[in-house]
Amino acid sequence: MSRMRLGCLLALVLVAVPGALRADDGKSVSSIPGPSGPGVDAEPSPPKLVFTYPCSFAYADGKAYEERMLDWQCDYIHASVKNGKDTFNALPTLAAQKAFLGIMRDNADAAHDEYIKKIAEILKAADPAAVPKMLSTGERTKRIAALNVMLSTGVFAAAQPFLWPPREAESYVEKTAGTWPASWHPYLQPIYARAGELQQALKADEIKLIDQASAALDAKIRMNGLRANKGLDVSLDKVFDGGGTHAGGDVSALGLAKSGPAGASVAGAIPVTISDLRAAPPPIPKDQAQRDQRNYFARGYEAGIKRLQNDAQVEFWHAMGMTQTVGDPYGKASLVFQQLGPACAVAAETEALRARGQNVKPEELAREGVDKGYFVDVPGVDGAREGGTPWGRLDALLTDHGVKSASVVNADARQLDEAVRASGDAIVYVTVKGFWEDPKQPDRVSHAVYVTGMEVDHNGSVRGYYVNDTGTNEAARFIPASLFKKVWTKNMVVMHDAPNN
Amino acid sequence: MRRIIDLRLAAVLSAGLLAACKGASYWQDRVQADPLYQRAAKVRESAGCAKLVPMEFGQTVPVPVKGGRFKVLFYPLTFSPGKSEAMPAAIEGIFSAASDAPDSCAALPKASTGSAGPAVPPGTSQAAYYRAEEALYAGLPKAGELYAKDAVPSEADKRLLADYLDAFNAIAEPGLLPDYYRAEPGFWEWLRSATGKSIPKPAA
Repeated sequence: MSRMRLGCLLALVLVAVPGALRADDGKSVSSIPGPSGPGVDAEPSPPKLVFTYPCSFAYADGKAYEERMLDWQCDYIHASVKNGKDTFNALPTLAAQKAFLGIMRDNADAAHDEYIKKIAEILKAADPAAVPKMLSTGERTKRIAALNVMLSTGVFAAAQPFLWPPREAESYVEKTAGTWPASWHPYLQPIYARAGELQQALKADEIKLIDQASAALDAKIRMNGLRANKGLDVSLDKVFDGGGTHAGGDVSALGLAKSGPAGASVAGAIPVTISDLRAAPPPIPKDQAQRDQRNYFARGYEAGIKRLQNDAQVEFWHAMGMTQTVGDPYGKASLVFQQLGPACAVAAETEALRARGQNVKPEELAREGVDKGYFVDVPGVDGAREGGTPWGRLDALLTDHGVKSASVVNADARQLDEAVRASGDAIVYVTVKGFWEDPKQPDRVSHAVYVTGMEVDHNGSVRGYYVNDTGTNEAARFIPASLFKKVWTKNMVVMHDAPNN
Repeated sequence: MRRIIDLRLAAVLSAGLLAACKGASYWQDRVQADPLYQRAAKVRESAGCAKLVPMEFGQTVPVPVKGGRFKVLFYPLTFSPGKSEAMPAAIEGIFSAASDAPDSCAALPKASTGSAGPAVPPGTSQAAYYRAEEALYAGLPKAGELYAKDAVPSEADKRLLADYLDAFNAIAEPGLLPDYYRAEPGFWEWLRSATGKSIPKPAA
């Protein structure tokens, strides 16, 4: 039942009280008893009930209320009536309070029955066992992901009458974490196990997809390694100069051998001159922790496959000694997290500060930004907070935290490349529509992401950039230069101090 | 002679067909090369706006205003992969494509804070969006020029204006049409009188 309808119900109860008074005068129009009053026998008024949350009803004199209210009935009152507790406590008489509770209990019972029914339907529909095993891994992944979404949205919709405090968009300004309130857990509990099963099924299929990509790549490298027995012995020292924490040095400063075998794990491949395979894990990671950080499928199946293809391309380049990674995108993958609300700039700044050894929390940084006027905070839908960081304030938090930085408008690729070579990172703005390749996004919306490295070939050309995206919780996403060029707004924040990690 | 005409027609039709079949990337490149698109994209970083407009706000397409300038609106936007939700416009920016007059931005009177719905018309593909955006920016300078002169459009101009309006309706944030109208009522009413079509006038 909507808040508006319950508000009307409450109004009816209040209106019924004078009706009950008239009933005391012998003109009964309502079964709801009213208080004592002028012209009525002067018996002392019974103490009213006091509602304290969570779920306690007691008389004002401290005696327990004789009828037990269940937790979900309390939650229903709290979630369905605006200012439920205060409104109840302000009802004028005990009789009105009891009448209100009676009506609300009936409504809560009905809502609870409906909730139980819906949850059973949702659980049945979201059974991963129902997805045919004969389907291709890709199709299974898509279907299971859709079930996951259905489960999540369905259960929240079913539990809505009981969710107190009301559901709000997550925001750093409003609260410090994205955890659900304790009062929600009983209503979401029934789906935890099923959500776990779906996640497990999804993960298994995703692992299969990554392994398939990895195996195909190994085969390709093996084939090409055997074929490429000439012409790969090129000197890459000069073009790979620099590189983040290793800035200012030559290739030896990158911790790499200037020559020698690379791609040793690839059976049959010939040694190539330079590869950073020993300096950084292979682009398609074998270990689960790195796979989890990469979060390949955060934007869906197609986007995940595209990422795997891009990473396979990079790994192939590495194995052939054609490119090298500048910066430490795989090390910095651990810096990524899922931002709350419109705080991509704050989130990217958090990563940059953490990379420099500062243990900052995004919620604290956002709060600091609000307090200092760097972060524009405006009311959003249903009491949520919206806003963001204006361009002119972008480097302010970094500067305040001791990081020498500068915002650059209309930057060119050369400036970005220099920045990544010098400090190993940069913050850039991208148009989210093209960056996520998402038709639901409008053009002209900028999104801050953290550049953690780049891939450079033996001509010195940048083949692409590595990016951590707190909007999707994806790490070390390789963006080919052709795509990057389309989505980069040519704005960036350059940080002059090298990270400590 | 007839054969030549047929060949020309076939060539034109083929070119049209090819253009229609181009992918999102083609249209994205085209729109990004448009000078007015590039100019509008820089408003929020200009000196007059850089401390007011959050980068994370959505930005509408430009609306011509009197004096040969354009207005864009900035609105709070909730976005995550596969979802975007606009809220009523909160800031307006004015810029000129032709002159060196500085851009300016100002907060709009407090509007309601409810959702204004999706920021992209439902069902619009990536390619269709960029194609419409390219068409919109192609027609916008002329639309602005005609409006500035309060001109009575020729038949050719009417077709251009109709194409512009189609493109606008294909990509404008559906829930922000009242904001678009309020940004420059004169333009939308001029368009209505010139072509018989426009966006709805919001209830007072």
